[in-house]
Amino acid sequence: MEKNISKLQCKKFGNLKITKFVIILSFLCAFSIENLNAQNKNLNVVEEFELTDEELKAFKQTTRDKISELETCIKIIGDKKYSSIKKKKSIETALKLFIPDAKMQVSSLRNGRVSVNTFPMETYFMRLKSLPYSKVKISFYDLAYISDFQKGADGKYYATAFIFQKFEGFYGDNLSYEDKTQKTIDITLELREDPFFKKKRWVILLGDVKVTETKK
Amino acid sequence: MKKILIIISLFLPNLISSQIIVNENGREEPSVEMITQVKLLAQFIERFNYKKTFDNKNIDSLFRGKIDRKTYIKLLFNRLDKRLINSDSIPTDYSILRDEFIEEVCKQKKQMYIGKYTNKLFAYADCEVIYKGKLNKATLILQRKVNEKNVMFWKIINVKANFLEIPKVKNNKIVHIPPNSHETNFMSLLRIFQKPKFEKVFDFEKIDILSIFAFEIYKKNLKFKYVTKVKYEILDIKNWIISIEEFSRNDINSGWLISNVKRI
Repeated sequence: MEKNISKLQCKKFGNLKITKFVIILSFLCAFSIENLNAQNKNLNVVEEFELTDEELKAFKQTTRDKISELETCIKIIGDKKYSSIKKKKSIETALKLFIPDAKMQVSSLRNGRVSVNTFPMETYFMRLKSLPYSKVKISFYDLAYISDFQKGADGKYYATAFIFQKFEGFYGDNLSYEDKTQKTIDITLELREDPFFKKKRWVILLGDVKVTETKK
Repeated sequence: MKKILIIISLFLPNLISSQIIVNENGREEPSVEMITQVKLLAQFIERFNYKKTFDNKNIDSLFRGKIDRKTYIKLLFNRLDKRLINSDSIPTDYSILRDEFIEEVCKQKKQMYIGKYTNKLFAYADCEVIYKGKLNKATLILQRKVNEKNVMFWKIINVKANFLEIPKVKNNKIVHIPPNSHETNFMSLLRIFQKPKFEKVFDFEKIDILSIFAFEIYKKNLKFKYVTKVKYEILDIKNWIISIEEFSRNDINSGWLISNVKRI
């Protein structure tokens, strides 16, 4: 009996302790500046991996190649002349260019009001794959702009890419829909361990994409 | 408009045409509007600092010989601003202020630049949120912070959210924590917190909308949806506030442009 009571007391005390701990922890997480500073300090552990301006310039070129790869994938996914298997492979290739939870946000201005739709990247590619046109032509302009990389508090480097895209959808030979959009793409340069060689190396990943319709 | 076209044609003589040209890579050559558009804030800063040309190459003596910094900065102003239309023939207060601004920025031997690592950069992000099931609008005010190692990040420093209220506190003689409460471990709080207007005992002057906004997100009462519009303010040019907004239009003067300058 005594054992049971002490067990119960222990449990109760334990629960109280846990509750108290959770409350304190929550408030610390939510509002404590010290905590944020500590977090930043922890994140600064990776600061030893400082990239030189020359290295960052080289990564800018690699980013250009990645963007080019994405453009090729988008063209194939949309183009009706390619088989479903090829399109599927291109979707897989395209998704590998992105961080896992990257989103595509499409905003347009209708009657003075901004309408915003956000899709997971895979959904965007799947929609592109199955557009109801008999022929689709997607082209890009020779004007990819990539900003300089800036170091973030987590030790990763961040940049932004900007591309123009032209979309044309046909029914037969008739042009049914066309638009020009601007895509602003988050770029992350992060240190990742190669699962095969067990060595860390810098990897460029594309992130969220903001799509804006260009007014005609 | 004609003036701007002449200036740009000095630099991009082959591109003042509406023809679509496809190059050897199968890509379409961009139009002059696409090239001159200020695509990102980063590009705005590069152009303001007279570092990069329209097509993103380093500014060299050839470019300098054709377009000087004053003209280049002038092109960064929203030319469709009502205060600037026809101001070349009839100057307005704002066009005079703009010219003073440009003169000060481009002063010989004292040229001013926007720092690559400035923390005097603020963003106003209009956003939509769901608060207790209802759609509401808010504006987040963010500041870019830069530490001593040039590591950068944004912090939300304030928020405008009319749907949130700081509880109004009037002097209330009934609900209060008596002056001697500390002597008894503030046991009176136990009783006070049962009263209907217990919030009067909090010093709400110290709680701002930002704290309430953060707390409501934490409590999952407030869900962020998305940002609909962003505006920037740069205070890195001594005595001036530069406001920058995105002007999305098919025009040689488009993208991230100066919507206002203000002397402080």
